[in-house]
Amino acid sequence: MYFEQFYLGCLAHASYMFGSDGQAAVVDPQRDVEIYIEAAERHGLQIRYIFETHLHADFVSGHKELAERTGANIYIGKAAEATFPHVGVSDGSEVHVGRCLVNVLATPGHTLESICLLLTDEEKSPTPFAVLTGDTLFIGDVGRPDLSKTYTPPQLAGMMYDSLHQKLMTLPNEVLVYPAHGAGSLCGRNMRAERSSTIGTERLTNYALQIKDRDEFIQQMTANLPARPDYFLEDAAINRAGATPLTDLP
Amino acid sequence: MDDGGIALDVRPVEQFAAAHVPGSINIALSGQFASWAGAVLGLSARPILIAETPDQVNEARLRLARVGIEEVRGYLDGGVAGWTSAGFEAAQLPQMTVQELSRRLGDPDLRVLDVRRQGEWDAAHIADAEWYPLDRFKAALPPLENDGKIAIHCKGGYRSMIAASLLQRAGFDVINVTGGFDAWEQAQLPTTATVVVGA
Repeated sequence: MYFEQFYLGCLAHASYMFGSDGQAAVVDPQRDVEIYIEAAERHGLQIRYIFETHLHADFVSGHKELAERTGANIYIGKAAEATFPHVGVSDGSEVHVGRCLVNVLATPGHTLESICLLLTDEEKSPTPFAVLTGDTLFIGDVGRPDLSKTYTPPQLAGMMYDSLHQKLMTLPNEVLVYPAHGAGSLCGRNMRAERSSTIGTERLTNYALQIKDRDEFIQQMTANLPARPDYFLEDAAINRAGATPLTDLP
Repeated sequence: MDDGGIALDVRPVEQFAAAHVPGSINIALSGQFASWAGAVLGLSARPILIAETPDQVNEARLRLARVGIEEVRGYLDGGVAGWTSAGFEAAQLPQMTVQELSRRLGDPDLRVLDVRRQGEWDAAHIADAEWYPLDRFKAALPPLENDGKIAIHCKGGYRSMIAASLLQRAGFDVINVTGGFDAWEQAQLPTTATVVVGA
């Protein structure tokens, strides 16, 4: 099975491509999608699936352009109410990318439509080896709960608590954690600089996961939030509709 | 430049400090360029790019597009070198080391402005400094009297140049502190932390 993390330091943004048996999936693509198309070619894979863990607020996604250029389908949480052609997924949805099984976990909290993708390499083992956590769980932090226009930070923080403890923390310790952002991003406040972790490491060292009381969690997660640039809401709106292809820009 | 457009110089901070087009602002490609451009300029900005090479201009355009700034108005042909050869004057942005800042802390006509985030300020800062994070600059410039010099610092020297160029553009007399708070701490100069009174 092929698995690659693409990291953009400028935006502290991590995207992923994985696949097997000639098929590939891209997760949270950055706007310039050439890197995925070239990587797929080099590994003899066809990009058939594009997953968006949520509607990103801090960068413009290349999901629509990548779909148009490759014929791939875009999978995103139903709650995103995305207006571009897509397949709406929900908790428990399953997608096979070659012999890699993708299980969708609905994990609202950072946004209502946030999902995590649990990956199982069926050629190697029936147990999942990694979870792509978008902006829900970061290395050393969790996603901020104040970026919604329709839900209050305390509401989102409560959902985040449930998502973390009822879904992510029930996974085995060895499962690798791959988030969508690293240190320097404004989507969380305290991320570490590593590019991957494990459920076990996060369970033991992530300050947000140590808070075992739901109300206490909500209180802490909604206090002292980092500044929120105006463009965050605009980027999320652009991503809901899908951005103009790069080549079409003036 | 008279119609509200913005000249965005993407060269490294040292080059900008040495010579730049008056009124241009500096967000260097070497740092978190896209995020700060988005935060400081906003998505409806239509910048004119100033760089050293066409490759840098293209890189800047791409990185701006990644965050949603799509309408670059153009670029300065020949960069700053072209500007000065055409007979226009270049501006400078003075620099200061942390040692010098430490020596000048008592000066009545020197203020110190810390533009880091709240968490960074609370953890440790220079006792005499005032705080106004870079994130707020888009909404409003810091409410400072324009009477005397302002020494601006951040953690490493990247954000402070963005802030300094914005203030210089607005007519303030600014000095950038090279190396930022990291250099201050490395030189073992005194700091203080925000005291949180228990609830």
